Amino acid sequence: MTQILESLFGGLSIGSVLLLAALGLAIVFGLMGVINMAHGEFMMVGAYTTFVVQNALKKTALSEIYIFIALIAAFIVTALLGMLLERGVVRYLYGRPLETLLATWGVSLILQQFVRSVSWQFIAGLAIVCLLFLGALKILSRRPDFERIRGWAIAIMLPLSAAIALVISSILGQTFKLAVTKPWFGTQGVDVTAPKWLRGGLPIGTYQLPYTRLFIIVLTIACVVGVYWFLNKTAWGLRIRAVTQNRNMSACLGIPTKTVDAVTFAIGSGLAGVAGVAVSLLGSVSSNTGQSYIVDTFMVVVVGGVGKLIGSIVAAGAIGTVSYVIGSNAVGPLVGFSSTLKSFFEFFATASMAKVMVFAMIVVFLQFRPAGLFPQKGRTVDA
Amino acid sequence: MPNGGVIYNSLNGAGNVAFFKQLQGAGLGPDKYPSMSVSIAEEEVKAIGAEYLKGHYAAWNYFQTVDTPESKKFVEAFKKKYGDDRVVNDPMEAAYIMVYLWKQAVEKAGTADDLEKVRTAAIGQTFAAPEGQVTLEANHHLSKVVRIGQVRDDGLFEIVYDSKTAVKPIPWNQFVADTKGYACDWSDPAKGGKYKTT
Repeated sequence: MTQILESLFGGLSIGSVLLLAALGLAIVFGLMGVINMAHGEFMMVGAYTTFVVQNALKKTALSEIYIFIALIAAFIVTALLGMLLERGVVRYLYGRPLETLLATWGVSLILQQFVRSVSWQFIAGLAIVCLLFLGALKILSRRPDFERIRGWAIAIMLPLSAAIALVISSILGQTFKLAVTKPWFGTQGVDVTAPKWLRGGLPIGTYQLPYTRLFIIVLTIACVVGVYWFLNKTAWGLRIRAVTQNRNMSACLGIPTKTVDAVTFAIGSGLAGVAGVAVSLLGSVSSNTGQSYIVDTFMVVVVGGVGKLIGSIVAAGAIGTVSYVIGSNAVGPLVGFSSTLKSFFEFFATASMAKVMVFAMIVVFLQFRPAGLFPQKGRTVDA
Repeated sequence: MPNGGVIYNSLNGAGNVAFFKQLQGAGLGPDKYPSMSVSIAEEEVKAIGAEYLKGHYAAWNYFQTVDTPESKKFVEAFKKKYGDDRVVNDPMEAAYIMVYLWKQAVEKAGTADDLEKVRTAAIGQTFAAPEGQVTLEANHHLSKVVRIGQVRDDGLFEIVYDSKTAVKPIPWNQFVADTKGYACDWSDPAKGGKYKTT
């Protein structure tokens, strides 16, 4: 009995982490068709936001419920970041999946290095570059012959503002020393400690269900319900569904498709931030955090079927359960009659080998159902 | 699951964070299942969170809490350069020792360019390290002080065992059949890594 309960809970908890991580991608990749390689880094940003919120509230009365504030903060921060990415990069690349893939991968590398090296000095330098460069372009754009000198203006202004920023930030570094040059987070991971009431677990016999896992399951359910409610019951949800089904027709009917794109992308990214808060309770928070989830999230969305949220939900549950059952060697005792089979399952009974097996199964599965569990039907497929 | 026991933790890197978080979540506390880690030092404790590690053990040659004048000086100088909230740990101390041993070897050899000369001169060098007196032995391993520490509330280690003097390096475990009878001698390139003594 406990064995079954344990397997069920294990599968559910792995599945819920997968689903939470994949939910944002199910919207960005599934509904919008944008391959966002920076999705994992949005999770990382969410995890770092948790760290910042935790430290800000450490000595205050809110320290025990910081996790809820972190959820909201992470959603807002990553949603804004997502909107920035959509407005700044992705919107120029719609309909070009390969370029989008490369560009967002580049963004993911930038974000990784950013959290490693960000310091006050770094921020000051960055702000000065942006201010000088964009300000200069703004002023120059008033000239009537701006279009003609545009290339020259950028070629001169960019190195110039970079040089000025470099000088100012090195002066800052020399005057204030450690106070400004010290990285905020550094290359080492940072510690996110769950609040007291989330540590420990619910004892069931000799086994204990960790509260953090239960919390993540509840959070995942809340997020799924929230996303369904948003997509099906609100005006913006209706617009998003309309645009994903037929962009041109929606535009003709007066739906601001560009705003809808930005909002959709922001919500998908915001969900990544929420997932980041959840995974910060389970594992390490470092610049590599996102990397360990990005493959899994794509796997869930692809297996589930691009374009259908329900697909991602079922896929996450199935992949979670299968990984847990293989990883914990629950099949081993059942095939005790054959020693070959038994040693076969024992070989795969570690977290990393279980993943190998799950990948192999997914490859086979996609051979038979290339469109995933819940393929899109009808004319909307090509839209 | 046995009722109580020591967990020998050889995990390295970020996996440790997940390990200790889940260990506590599953109710396997250090009172009943203390863990002995070989790559958890002060810096790692900070990254995992002392709340999760309190009461667990680690084996190192040096801890920030080692109470010698050299150690105090080392910690003070480090904090002055990199900030008060930073901690030092064994690998940092090892790197610090290395540079000084090399310097002494170069001074003895009288040259930094003749590598063979420096290599020979390095043997027998001693240095008053933060952990205590260390000596570079003939096989190019260091004899070092051995310590076991237990994680405190503040994320530093309470030293619960101290060999006091440096322990001679014996590369490869002589109590395990796989490596019994093997030795390692970096002063001879052919004998580096692993070679059979008998």
